[in-house]
Amino acid sequence: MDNCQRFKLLVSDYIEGGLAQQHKQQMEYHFKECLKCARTTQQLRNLLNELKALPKVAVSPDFETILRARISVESALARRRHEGFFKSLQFRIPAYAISAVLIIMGLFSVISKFDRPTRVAPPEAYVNQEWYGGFQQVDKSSEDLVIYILERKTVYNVSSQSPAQVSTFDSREEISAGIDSARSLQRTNTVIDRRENTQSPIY
Amino acid sequence: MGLEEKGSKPTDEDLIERFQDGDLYAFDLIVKRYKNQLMNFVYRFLGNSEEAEDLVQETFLRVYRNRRAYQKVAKFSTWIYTIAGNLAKTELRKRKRRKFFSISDLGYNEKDYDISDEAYNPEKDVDSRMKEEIIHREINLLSPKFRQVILLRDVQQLSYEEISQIVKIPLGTVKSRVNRGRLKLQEKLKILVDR
Ligand SMILES: [Zn+2]
Repeated sequence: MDNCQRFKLLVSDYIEGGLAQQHKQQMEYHFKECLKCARTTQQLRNLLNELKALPKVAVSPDFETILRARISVESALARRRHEGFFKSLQFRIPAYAISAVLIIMGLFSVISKFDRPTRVAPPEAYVNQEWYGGFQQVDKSSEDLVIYILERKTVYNVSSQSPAQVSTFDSREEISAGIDSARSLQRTNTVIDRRENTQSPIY
Repeated sequence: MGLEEKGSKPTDEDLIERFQDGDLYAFDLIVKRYKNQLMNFVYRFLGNSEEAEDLVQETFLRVYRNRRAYQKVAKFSTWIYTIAGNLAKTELRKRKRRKFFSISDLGYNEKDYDISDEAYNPEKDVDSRMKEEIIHREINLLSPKFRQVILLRDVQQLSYEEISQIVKIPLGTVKSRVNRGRLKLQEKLKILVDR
């Protein structure tokens, strides 16, 4: 094996200080006679600095809200199935909105120990869309049930507990509600839209 | 990290143990601790932030569901990175099957590029932002095998030992794979990193 190939095998160890003194000296001796390898080493050092300095990407602000909703739905489904209540979840699309809000209010009480987000406004980019986020969840035990959870741009004013008062988020407005009202915001903000897979309906 | 963690900060292993005993608040702290670093890892792996966020959600759902499967012999961080890494690799295989893998999926898409507030700096010169995008794209062009270890080592800054546990390959193999991955990137980016 020539010295340049040997260099290639050992260069990371060299850069990270993992080489024994003797090998380290051999590498440095090689750099004196081989500019190419010396240059590659410098480029690798720079590359590592660039990789380390890449901007960190973060999750969106409603990440935890959505995660909690998914978990609460999953737990509640498991519980209801267990208790034989599962069929009582049945409701039809035209009527889904009201039922769904009621059900999701029940579901959130399942995980009352979860924390209290103080800000649930949608990201700027979504402000003019009716729905600003959503995901689906397949019921594991019966794959023919798919639950969609959608988050609306508009939310109900919860301090009055009255769905009649609808307020729209201004994305720049920080919503710093208290613990209970923040939790209520999530409840009314989430709608379950349940659809069956047409291949094998369970009802 | 949250304020609640000041003082004697519980270890990840403390938290998962508390969660296994039914403490949901401990799960919440785990989410806060890991959501952004996993997002960063998965985003760099898949190149697309929407898919990445979904996959990080799925990772936490699996931690929630399979909390009993975690055993104290392993570090929690390696366990959760294993879950996220496996999901990401499965996603790449699915993409390939669906022939979904077009140029626009390579992460060279401006609107997918949302960086966190502290990292975002409008004053930042165009050169450095272009540089970031080129590096991001080249990472995404590495084969998943190299991409995974390069991200874990050089972006997430994990130790070789941790990576060996996450990827489930021997330490020596991790080291040589990282080394080869770096040389591949250096070959592609030599003009960019030459100064
Ligand atoms: Zn040489």
